Amino acid sequence: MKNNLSMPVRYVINILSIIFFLVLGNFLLKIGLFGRAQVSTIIQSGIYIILAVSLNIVVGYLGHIPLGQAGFMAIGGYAAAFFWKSGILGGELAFIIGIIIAGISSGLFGFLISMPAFRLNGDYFAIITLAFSEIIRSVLINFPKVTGGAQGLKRIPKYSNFFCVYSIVIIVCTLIHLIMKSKHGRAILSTREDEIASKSCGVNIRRYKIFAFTISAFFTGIAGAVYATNQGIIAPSEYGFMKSVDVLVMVVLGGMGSMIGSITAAAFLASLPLFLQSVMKSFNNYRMIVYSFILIIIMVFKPSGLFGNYDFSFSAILERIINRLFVSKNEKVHENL
Amino acid sequence: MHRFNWLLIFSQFINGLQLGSIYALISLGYSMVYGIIMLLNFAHGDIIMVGGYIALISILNRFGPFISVFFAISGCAVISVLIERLAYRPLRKASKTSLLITAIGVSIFLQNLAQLIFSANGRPFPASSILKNNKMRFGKINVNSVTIITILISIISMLLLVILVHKTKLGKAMRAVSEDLESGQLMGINIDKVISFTFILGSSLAGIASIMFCCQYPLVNPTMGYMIGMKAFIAAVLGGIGSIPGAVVGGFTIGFVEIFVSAIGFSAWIDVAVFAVLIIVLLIRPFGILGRRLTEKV
Amino acid sequence: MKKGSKIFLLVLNLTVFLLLFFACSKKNFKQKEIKIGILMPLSGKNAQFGIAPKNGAKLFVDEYNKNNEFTGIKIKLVIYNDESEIDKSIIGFNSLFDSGVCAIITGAESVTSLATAPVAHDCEMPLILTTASAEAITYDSKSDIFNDNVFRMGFIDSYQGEKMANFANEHLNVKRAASFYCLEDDYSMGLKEAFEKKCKQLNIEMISQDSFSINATDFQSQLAKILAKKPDVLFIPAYYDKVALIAPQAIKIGIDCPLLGCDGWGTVTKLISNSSFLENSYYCSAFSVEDDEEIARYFSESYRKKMNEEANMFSASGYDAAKVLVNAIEKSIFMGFLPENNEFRKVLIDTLKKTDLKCVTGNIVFDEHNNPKKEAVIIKITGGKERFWGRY
Repeated sequence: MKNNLSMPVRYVINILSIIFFLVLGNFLLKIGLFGRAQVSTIIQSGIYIILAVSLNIVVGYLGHIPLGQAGFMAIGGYAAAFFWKSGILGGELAFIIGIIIAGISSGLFGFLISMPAFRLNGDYFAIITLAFSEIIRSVLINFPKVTGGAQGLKRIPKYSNFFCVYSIVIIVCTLIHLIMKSKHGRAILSTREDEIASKSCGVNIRRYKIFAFTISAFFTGIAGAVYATNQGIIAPSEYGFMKSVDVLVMVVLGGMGSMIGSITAAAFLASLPLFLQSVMKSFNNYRMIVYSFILIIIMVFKPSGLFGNYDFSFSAILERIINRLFVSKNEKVHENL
Repeated sequence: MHRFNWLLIFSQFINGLQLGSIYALISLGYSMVYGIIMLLNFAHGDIIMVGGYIALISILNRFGPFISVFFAISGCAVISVLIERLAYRPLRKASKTSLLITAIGVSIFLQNLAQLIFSANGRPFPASSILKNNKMRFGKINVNSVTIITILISIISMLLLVILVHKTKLGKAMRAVSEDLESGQLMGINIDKVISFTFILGSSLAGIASIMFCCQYPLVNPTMGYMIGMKAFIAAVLGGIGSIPGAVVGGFTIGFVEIFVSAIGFSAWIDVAVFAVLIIVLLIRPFGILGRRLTEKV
Repeated sequence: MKKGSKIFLLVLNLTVFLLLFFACSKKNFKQKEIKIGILMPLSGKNAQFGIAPKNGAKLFVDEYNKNNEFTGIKIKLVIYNDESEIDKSIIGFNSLFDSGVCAIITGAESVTSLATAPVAHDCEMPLILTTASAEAITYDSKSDIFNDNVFRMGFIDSYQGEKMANFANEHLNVKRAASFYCLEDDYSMGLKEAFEKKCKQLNIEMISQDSFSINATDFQSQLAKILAKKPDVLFIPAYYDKVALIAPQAIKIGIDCPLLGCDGWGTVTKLISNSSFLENSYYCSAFSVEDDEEIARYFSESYRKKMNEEANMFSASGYDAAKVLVNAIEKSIFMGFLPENNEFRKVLIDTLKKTDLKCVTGNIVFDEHNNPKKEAVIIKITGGKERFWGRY
């Protein structure tokens, strides 16, 4: 008989490991083990992790490719920046409220955009989301009195540090995980597998597509807000098609449908430029060529990416370890019969 | 209130025709490829950039104008077929998302490769080596000879294309494959050859468009294909993707929309206007002006 | 600083101290290496604005090191490519900081410099901007924030815009002006606003202001409108790649008034299909290859020899930035401060403030907002070439 870890135990294990990770990370950063560049790269990776796991909802779990994530980042970033710069509140509270405002604004736009967008299939869906993203960018540029125009918004208060950013990363991942475990998540997955079959089983396809896209936009907006506060300045020029492609490469590389894949690929690709600066100075010249090449190679040879569909469970791994160590020989023999 | 300046309006109309004819040539490529293998060839716009650079290098190396144009057009065709063989053919049975991602990858790869080889700065295109740009006067109206030639060549190319598709055996095969790929195979059509030929045709037209574009706007840079390609794709969707006359209609419409928006003073909103056209079309009539409604079989 | 670096520097310090003690009697000794960072876009769409100043700075540093083998100061450049992106600029800044640079030459573009300036301000790292022109990088008048650690070698937007308006008024007798600018480019917008403000003060009527999109290649409809208004001069504050497309279309439509430009016009004659389209245009710049001042001539020649390409405003700014910085470093060291001290950067900032140095692009003295007080160079395009018209 296999030993299964019961759910309460799993929760405790997960919460403890999260707390351990946060405290350890914070401590290591505080004692100056990492230089400034490494710290900012680590925080940057956190932002891209949030971006990748949110895009993964639509690309991986839902099975559609949007190309407009940069637009939602922009909305989130600008919304939060407006709130923070208005000075209504200060400190940690302002940070949290700003993030929520960013998420809600992006989510709202995601909702509005998804309604027309999901009337179309794959390729058209991609182009229409790209069109909306470019329109958002044009609007941000063309009203300089409000949005700062091409120069963007400056002097955004800087709230980001390791603890803040990674707490958000963990909360976002947890939320997404919980959603996907629920019946809503299963509905989304079934939509990916076979639309017509799940429709005939009573799943309201359209509602779940809009739902998935909206929450993806929500979390992308949050990432955009953290991005804004990390940099202190945002400008429309950063939110172009290439930014959306950057995140898409992370999700594809990690494996469409795997959260751990998105996390790993995002962390890896976000820190790659810093790694390589010391080894190969001119890597940045070749970066996009390498990325696009990776994209093509993966699609041709291993479309499932690094992790495929696999989703990580710390508890499952612990389970296996416990079973291997403590299950007696008799029971093992019985299992094999 | 503005008084109507008829001269201005007419010259804008000619501009619209010229821009529209370039878009039409390019959107034909999108339409044909989509009609055959249901692939949105993201990289099609960048083929234009490739054509421009090939022509540029050829002229700088003192090959004559005709040879340079020939090199450019055949270069576009060759690269297009290479892309099809290496990136799209292995994925013919794969999901649409894989194809889309691959196409995006190819587009970005081409752009960045060009940036690496030629640097991101633009390079001047020696348009006068290819076409002498004379001002021609019709009464009070000034028109460039390049404009006239662009319009003429585009119309001729489209007519030739229509003849090819409707009057030749290969054209018949193309039409058959775009109706139903598997039935076409059953009928003994060599799918690979037909698809390759479609790509060659589409990119040759893009090559011609590229030369025309560079003669009018004599600057090549690695990202020139992105926006033109995007707008030409929108033109193809507007006209009805998969439909050859649709692509032409769409191309001219988008050309006129651009010139119109710019003429009424909203030049900063041209891109938004074109994207808005796309969104409206996709919502109201997704199969375009001249397209056919497709139903999905279970 | 990391622990390892601290120990290493301590040892180096001791070694240098001992060696300096014996300096006079020895010919070969270990030089103190002082690191200067270069944070520029070296790839991507703005690479030309970053590679040229990097080359200019490198030229100066190589010259300096060669001529100063015995003073005990050796300058080492640490280069980071920021790809014109804000997030990479900030990481680049931090990476250079970690490498132990005492100052950073940056400022190829305004947007990234606006992002790094506050970060540098917080840790008191001197920044020298080569050509970035947004005013707020040094001093933002709207919010009264002064980044006193940032020093600028080039012009601010308002300076150029005003200068061209003055020039048009004084030398071209302009009464009616038009502007054609790029809405999506903060540089273009800044210049256009300054130009128009100054024109108003000089009683020049702004009869037309049209904009174009950054991706546009066809400008005929806007140019036709401008033509209809018949301006005395057309101000086009844009980069040379756009000007190379705009000017031919303008001439073909029939615009025959002089065209005025800004420092972004540099090398436009190389890109345009036929330079006669720009006959009798003027633009202002920081440098001209034809400048016959000895220091400028020397720079142009050595740049051409070493880098195999013609010098331009960007490489000259990079050269001057390095010169001003190294001069300040020298002075600080001779005042008794060593680069390993934590206060060195602060001392460097104070020394930089007092700069008064003759450089390629003019005599560099900083005003109260760390912007340079120097004249501009007016370039006239005639006979297909960009010719030095004079200082103004």
